Amino acid sequence: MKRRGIGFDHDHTTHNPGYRRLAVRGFYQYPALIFFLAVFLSSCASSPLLKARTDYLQAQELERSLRQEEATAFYKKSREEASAIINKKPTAEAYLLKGLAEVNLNLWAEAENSFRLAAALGEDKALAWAEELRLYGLARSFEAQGWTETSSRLYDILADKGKYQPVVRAAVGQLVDLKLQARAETEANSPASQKEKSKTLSEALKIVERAVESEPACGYYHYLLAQVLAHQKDYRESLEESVMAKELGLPSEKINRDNDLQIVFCYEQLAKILSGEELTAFQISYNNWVKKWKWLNETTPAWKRS
Amino acid sequence: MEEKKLQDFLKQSAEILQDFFPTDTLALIPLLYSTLIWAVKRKGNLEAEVSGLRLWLEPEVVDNKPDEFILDFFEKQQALQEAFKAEIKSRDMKSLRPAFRALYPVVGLEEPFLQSLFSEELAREDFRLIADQFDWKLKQALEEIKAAEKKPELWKALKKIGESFMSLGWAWLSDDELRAWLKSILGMERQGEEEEE
Repeated sequence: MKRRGIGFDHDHTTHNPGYRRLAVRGFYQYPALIFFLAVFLSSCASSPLLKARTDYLQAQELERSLRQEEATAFYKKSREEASAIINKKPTAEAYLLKGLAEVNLNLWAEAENSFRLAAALGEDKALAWAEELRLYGLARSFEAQGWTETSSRLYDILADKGKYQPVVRAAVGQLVDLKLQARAETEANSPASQKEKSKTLSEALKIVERAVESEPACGYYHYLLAQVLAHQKDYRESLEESVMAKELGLPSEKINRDNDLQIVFCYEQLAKILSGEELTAFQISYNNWVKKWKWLNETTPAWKRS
Repeated sequence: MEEKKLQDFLKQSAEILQDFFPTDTLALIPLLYSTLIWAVKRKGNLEAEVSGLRLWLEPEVVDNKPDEFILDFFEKQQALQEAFKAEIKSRDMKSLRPAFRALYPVVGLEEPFLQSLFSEELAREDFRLIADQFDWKLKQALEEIKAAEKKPELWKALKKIGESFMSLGWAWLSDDELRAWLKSILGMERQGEEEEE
């Protein structure tokens, strides 16, 4: 895949038309899912369901603003409201909403159950989602038991064939981390093992590039790509991908912080490598971002207190 | 004067919460900490504040970093560098990698729950102890909170502590200021205990 640089030679990402095209294309990548969610959420017209729906949307809004703790509160609220509706009269819509909130609370097994019940009450799409969640849950438990090959196979299937976006993203993340783990655990004491390490890294890179191609505006995938590129010591591209991830938005404060530290690490590595005019130009463009993000200096993100 | 007042308040609050937990609990400081953060923010609900902090522990960031990133992490901070001097010198990644897995979320990402859980070790800059005790201490604290949060009385007690905290006039504290105060007071408490001993 040919990666598009975000321009350390330019002022800001948003001034780059290529970047804008990527973002716009990604936004429409899942029209069916977006349409389905919009129809589903707008059809929850009865009052308690409307309240649960509104809280769910509020949670999503807060999550986009990286206010994770408040978003969690609203997901929990939405889940409780959907449960109260189900206790009075179980409906496919209420189970679906409960399942959606549970996915966001990382309650994977509970979400699978809710989607199954939604499907049993007539919501066909929910069955496929439940199946994917079940597979993901299974992969996680295999991984916890140390069966990394089996879990990698399942994550690979989900990353390749999955339709439910949160599960696909989680599977891609786990798969990449498992590849990097295998690479870290391989001793590079012979040409054969060195070759094995390079092969594992190429596999990880292919997985992420495939994910970025399928959803170019997903900040999380750019974050993953930046991580893999750093293993290749390609610090300039890694930095560009990290910046792109930050600008597109990341799903949690924890990932955002990890991504910030990746930016700082790449900046420091590049500052050691570059010299003369190239270094000056790089520092000028890097400082534009630092200013935009309101960091304390080149190596201290705003959240860093110490 | 203010510090003494806050110190007394924290001591009393810890005594109230002690009833919900086993003796020598590890969960008290993280729980008290998130309650006070919740009180200062005065938004969302308390259950979410506690579970929101715990949610940070879900595996979602890429854990497996390049060797250079790990070495850079250990070399950047003087105290970390001192603690792992021999391993850094010999590039002993077999020892550094597991230590990094424990220390990076605490020192690098500054996860609030973990920072409060290991506040004593952080104040002493005992990074080796954090790395050694990370798994069991975290597991134990989470189990204790899970068991205690089923008791409705706990939430009432926590809310009361949060409200009292505000009524005592610390509403002006920012999130960061509160963290700094708690850190310094916890340090003072330990010093006091050591002196008594």
